[in-house]
Amino acid sequence: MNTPKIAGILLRLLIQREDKSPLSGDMEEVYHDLQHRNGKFQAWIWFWGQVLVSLRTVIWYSALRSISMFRNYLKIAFRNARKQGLFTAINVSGLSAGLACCILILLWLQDEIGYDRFHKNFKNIYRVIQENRSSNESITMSTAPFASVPSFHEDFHEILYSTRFRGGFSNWRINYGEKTFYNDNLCVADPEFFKIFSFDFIKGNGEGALKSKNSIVITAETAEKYFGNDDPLGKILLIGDDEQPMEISGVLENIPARSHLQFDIIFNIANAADWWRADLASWKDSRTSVYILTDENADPSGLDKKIENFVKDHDPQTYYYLSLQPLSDIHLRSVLTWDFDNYMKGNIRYIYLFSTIAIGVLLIAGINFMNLSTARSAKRAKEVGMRKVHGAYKIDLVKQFFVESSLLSVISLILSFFLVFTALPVFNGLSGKTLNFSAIAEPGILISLLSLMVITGLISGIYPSLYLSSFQPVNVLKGITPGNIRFGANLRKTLVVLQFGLSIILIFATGVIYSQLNFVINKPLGFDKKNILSLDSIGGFRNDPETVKQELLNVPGVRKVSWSIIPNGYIEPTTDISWEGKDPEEKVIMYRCIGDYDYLETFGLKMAEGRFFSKDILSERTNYILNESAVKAIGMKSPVGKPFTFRDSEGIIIGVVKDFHQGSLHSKIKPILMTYSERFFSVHIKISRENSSVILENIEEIWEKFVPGRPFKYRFIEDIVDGFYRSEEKTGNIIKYFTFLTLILSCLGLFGLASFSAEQRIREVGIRKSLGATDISIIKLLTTDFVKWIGIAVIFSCPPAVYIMGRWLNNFAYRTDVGLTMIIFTILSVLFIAILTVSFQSFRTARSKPVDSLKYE
Amino acid sequence: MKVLTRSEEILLLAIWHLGENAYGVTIREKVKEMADMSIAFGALYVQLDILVKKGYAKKFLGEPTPERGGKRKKYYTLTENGKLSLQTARDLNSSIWEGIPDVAFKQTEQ
Repeated sequence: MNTPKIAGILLRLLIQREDKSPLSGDMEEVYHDLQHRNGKFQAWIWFWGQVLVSLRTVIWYSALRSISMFRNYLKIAFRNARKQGLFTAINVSGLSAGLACCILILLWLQDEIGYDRFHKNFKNIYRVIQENRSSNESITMSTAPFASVPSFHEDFHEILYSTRFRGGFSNWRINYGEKTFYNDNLCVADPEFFKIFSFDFIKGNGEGALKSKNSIVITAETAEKYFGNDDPLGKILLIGDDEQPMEISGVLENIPARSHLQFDIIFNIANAADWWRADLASWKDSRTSVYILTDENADPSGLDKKIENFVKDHDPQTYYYLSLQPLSDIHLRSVLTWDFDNYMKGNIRYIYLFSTIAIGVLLIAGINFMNLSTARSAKRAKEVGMRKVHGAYKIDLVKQFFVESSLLSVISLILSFFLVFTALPVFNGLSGKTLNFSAIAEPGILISLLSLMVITGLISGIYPSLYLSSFQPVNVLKGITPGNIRFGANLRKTLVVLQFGLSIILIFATGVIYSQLNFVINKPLGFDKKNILSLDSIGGFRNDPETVKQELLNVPGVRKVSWSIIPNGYIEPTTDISWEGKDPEEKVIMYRCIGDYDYLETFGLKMAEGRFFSKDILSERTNYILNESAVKAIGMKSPVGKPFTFRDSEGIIIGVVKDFHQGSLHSKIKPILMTYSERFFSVHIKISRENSSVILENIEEIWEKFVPGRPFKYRFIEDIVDGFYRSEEKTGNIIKYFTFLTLILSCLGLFGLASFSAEQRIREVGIRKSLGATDISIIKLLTTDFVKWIGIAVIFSCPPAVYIMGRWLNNFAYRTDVGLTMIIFTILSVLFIAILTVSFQSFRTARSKPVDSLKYE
Repeated sequence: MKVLTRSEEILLLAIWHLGENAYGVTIREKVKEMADMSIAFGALYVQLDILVKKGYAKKFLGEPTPERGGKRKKYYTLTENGKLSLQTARDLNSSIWEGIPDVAFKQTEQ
């Protein structure tokens, strides 16, 4: 009694309804007959043969039918789109803007998550992180002690190679023949660097490169800058002021943009030992990052545990703990107190943020589509009834409406390509990326785009198509409104509430970001950041600071000059300190600020007690100044005059400086230890506000005199300080655009709905007017309903908005409050915009003449 | 009146021959027997439906029987129109063949 199962199912699918049982009955009869006569196998073959033969015919006929129906659907879709131009425009522009947002964010995401993936050993490369734990804070840094490099693969068999790396040497003089260049982006590394990372060599190879102390590797771009088209291999460059000769042993392809390691020239690390006068076998000194390559079968978490006390095991006097950070985490998931990064670092939080925004914008556009289509459905009801009367099945109508929604989403996708193409430069400017439009053609992106389009088409088409196709032809043709239209109206209201809720959250977020930025930029920092130049101290500036200082002070407009550390740059943490009454087990971290006697006045710092360094006292090298936080951290009462020791040099505390914000306002004020030095690596010059260009010219002349041949490069402290908030500023800018977009989209949707409801109530309005209603009362009638929805949106969206932005503000140690005024401002502006949108349409309806609306054709 | 096509003619003749018992399986077997043509079931029903549509035949459903897995048979019988068309087809056939001697074929066979 059993015919082949799959063939049977296939057969039943192929046959049209009414033929179903007779035909498959016939087939079964013959099948059994054959089975009796010729055996099961032949019968099986026959059955399958029959099904396959029929398949061809059926497919051909159904394709023919679908094609002709499809043509009809397309025709109707185009006619409808043209007839209701406003709705179509709202739909298409909304969807294409939403899709364009998604595409931009997709391109950006694709760029962000692909960092460092070009290395062949991507999965097995780790960076070593060093942690300094103390009683007041714990500092994590992307460094490890010098000595760890040869020791790593001696101690752990699962570590195949390890290398030290330090980049960011900048503004070096390099001579080639007669020509002099200045180069940034120099770095040092061990020869194993090229065994771990796969940077491609154009000339030379990873084996021979960096083998000896004076061999270097350069990038193609750098090679072209120095040698043009000549072969760079074996050429000699003279490096630095003392003109050390270096031979080029390899040329690399330009470093991919998506690499967290960026450099032009790479030196053997042995040179750095000379430059820094450091001992590369030291366990205390850690100025380089360390990268390791592990064996494929190694257990990373086990290794992570094993290396924790690695430094301590070798040198019990140190306090560093090590851990491993996978290469894949460096770009997006690395949160360290201090990191060497000379590229544009990413942050996983922004990935989440922007993905959410992309989905939100698309959602809003999709909602517009659904809302307007269902709202219009009453107009299509007669068409649906007619089609049903003429024999359309429900599935045919569903198909028809899907064809309509897909058509609109295809048009939107094409339009969105144009939008992306035009908006890409702006987006690149905002995000600081160099995204390329051609990346759209990458298979990953293309597939996700097409699926995005299909999903949008399906989701926005699903409700209208199911809803419209369920109309009863008898009722709609008689003119009875479909029974479930109430449900449609409720859904529309819910969706509008959702849209405006999202818009309110975004507007609120933008407001909070900008007010926090305003707060951090205007907050008094405890020092004067205005009109201070920062220069590198090199050449004559470094050798003879006193003479240079006098010359500079002679320039009219120069107020104060100080050789000192940049107060807002990296300052060195230290635990090598002791004071009177210190518990020997206690460990306190202080940050060391270095400067001369003019430091206080140049930066406008204030003393709390005691005195600052003075020009007239010779023993200042062993005198120390703390800030108020440092005094608090060590719990000392009346510190002035008390003994204090820093790195074996005993001295006394001569003063306490008032707290000032050394770093960004993301973190609390740190305990600071100030030590004296007349000749630091940077000079700060306080100038008057007027005539700054003339003053700068004069300073440049002095620079030329003492440091001939070096470019005059300076920065303003104010720019450095404001630069701490660049990522927030960038986020604020991008969010601003998205907020604007979502608001526009929501308003477009609202406008569409308002004009639809006005159109539906045109007779009611006519009757009311002829019975004596005023324009104002009509406008009120048409507007109140919408305003009610917006009110509900406000109530629902305020708590999450306040919560989310409160979390964001917690990133800052010093923050504004989410003020009531901000909330009220957001609500009022949304209400204002919404009322404006709705009343524009209401006004037109209210002004219309009752005669026009009440007369029949 | 339209002239029947050859395959229509064969199918209608098969149905006529079978009388009360003309349904998918038997029609197919009869066609095979009469004209040595084998038709797939899928195609068979399409052609039968065309006959019904053109008004040469009509169909009715039989009672379900156990040997077919409880599925109904769809029987076909000729309509008056169908019978008339067959008659016309035969008359037409004999009139257009009239007077052509067998010799003509023998010559072409050479």
